[in-house]
Amino acid sequence: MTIEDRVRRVLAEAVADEPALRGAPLEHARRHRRRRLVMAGAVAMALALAVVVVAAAVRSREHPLPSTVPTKGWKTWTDAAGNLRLRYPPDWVVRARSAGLIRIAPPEHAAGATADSPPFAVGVRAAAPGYYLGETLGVNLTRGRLASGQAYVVYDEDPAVLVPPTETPTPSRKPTELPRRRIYTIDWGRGCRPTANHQPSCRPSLVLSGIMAASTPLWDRYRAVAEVIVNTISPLNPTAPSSGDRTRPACRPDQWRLFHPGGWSYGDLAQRYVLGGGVRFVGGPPCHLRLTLRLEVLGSDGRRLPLPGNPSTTTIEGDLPDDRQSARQNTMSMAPSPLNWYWGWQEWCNRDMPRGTMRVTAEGGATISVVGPPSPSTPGEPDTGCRDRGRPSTIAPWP
Amino acid sequence: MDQAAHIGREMTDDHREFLDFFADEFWSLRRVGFLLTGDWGEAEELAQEAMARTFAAWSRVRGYDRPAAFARRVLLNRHRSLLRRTIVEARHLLAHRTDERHEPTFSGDDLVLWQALRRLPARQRTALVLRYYLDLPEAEVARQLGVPVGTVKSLVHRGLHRLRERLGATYASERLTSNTEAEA
Repeated sequence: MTIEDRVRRVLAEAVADEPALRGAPLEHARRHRRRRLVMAGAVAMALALAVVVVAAAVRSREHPLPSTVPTKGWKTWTDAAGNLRLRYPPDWVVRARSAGLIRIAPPEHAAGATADSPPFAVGVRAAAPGYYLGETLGVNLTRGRLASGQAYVVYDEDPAVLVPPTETPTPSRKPTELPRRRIYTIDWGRGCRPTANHQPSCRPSLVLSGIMAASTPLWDRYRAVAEVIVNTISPLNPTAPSSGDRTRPACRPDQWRLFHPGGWSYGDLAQRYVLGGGVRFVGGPPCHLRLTLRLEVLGSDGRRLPLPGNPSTTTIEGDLPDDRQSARQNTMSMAPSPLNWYWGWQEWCNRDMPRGTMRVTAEGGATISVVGPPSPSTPGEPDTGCRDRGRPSTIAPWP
Repeated sequence: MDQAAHIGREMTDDHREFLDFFADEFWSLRRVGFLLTGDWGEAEELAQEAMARTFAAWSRVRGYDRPAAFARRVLLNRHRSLLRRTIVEARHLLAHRTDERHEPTFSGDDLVLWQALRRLPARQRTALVLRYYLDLPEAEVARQLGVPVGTVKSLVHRGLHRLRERLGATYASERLTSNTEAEA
């Protein structure tokens, strides 16, 4: 048997025994389209509500967790191995779902606390390697800080993708009957572990927490308490900053270079083009890198496009070689790292918008240029789904 | 307005046509998603996303010769999106036990080959899945990936070469067939 035949057979057998569906994909598809169908009508309403929305958006950049729920008498749950503790109401229950993953549920829903889709629960996953900003950039994120000072980002799941399996995928639920979920990705500082060559590897870590409800009424009933539980998550012992060790010598310019993984990435249902890259380590002794980067979006004539936010700057900070993008990393993805850099170009596909070249320049002159995505109307190019919604095109560091 | 009633009124001819398309293609997309990601949950998310975007553009896509190629290309683009991955991972980390992963049961050389496929760089793995799971001709693989045919030949060649290396002596002396050799 040739290698090609063998690959054919293994690929076919790998999917021969597929598991049952977890969600209701048709329902998701139809809700997604319905959003587009109602868009025209929504424009008028959106204009009327613009002031309110802008004000809300400004407020939501810093997501405040409620502090009005009294926490006197709450119990404390501790995970010494995970360097984590949290507090919860005395009548709520804590259930271990698997190693490092717990669910906290109100007493009336304790029985279903560890189900795939619990009636209501707060899930907390102990610290794992990764940077909290990571690659969670495709959705609309809100930043904030827990009471302990740990930084986090939070986003709400699209309810349509959380629907449990159904035999007949015909949509029959009211929106209030759909599940709700809010995901927190929390900065858990930097931890060091010994490696085979006795050189410690120091990497950022994160804690994941999620508030899960089977329906909007359950969400409304318990969400405030759940957010306070999340707000009490704190490290047992202080964590080192995830942005690295500032006592290390500063990296020389010849020790690193800018890196872009290739391809194009999108968020906000493709309305936002996200330029993201990292830093490769060239060589030399361990060092600390703090770098300000400037993005310019240029037209075909090499001139800067007249867009709000162009040019734009951002600052990254981390250690090398610890936070580098590895040469072995495949070219389509990057390891989450505090040395990754991102910009979002919102409404990049507006009518008459030229195809831009994104030029990123670091202090000291290192430069990398990336040709932006082609317009969706370009013949032969893939349709990303981005459409001109009549909103302004802007550029800003992301998130 | 009652959501179910609203959806019922939306059920027009092109919706029914999409339902047929969905029934024909969703499972294939999900399998391709698994072969690309190695995770059924992530595969389902990708297939859902591909179907959602296809449905959003259905009035246009329904006129294409091969609407499935459009949906598959959306799936490949979504998989390629480096921003998507961690969202999906975060969701499943919180929602599912790590021991719930549904893995194919291979042994011997097949297990070695499956693991080697999983470790291939994403572009090589994608090219092999399109070429040998979907049996697409190289020109169509090139269209799906948005790269020249020569690049597809190179990706497939290098992917197969790595797999042969992992399998060792059994395939060490085998010459790759002509249609998968890299361009000189």
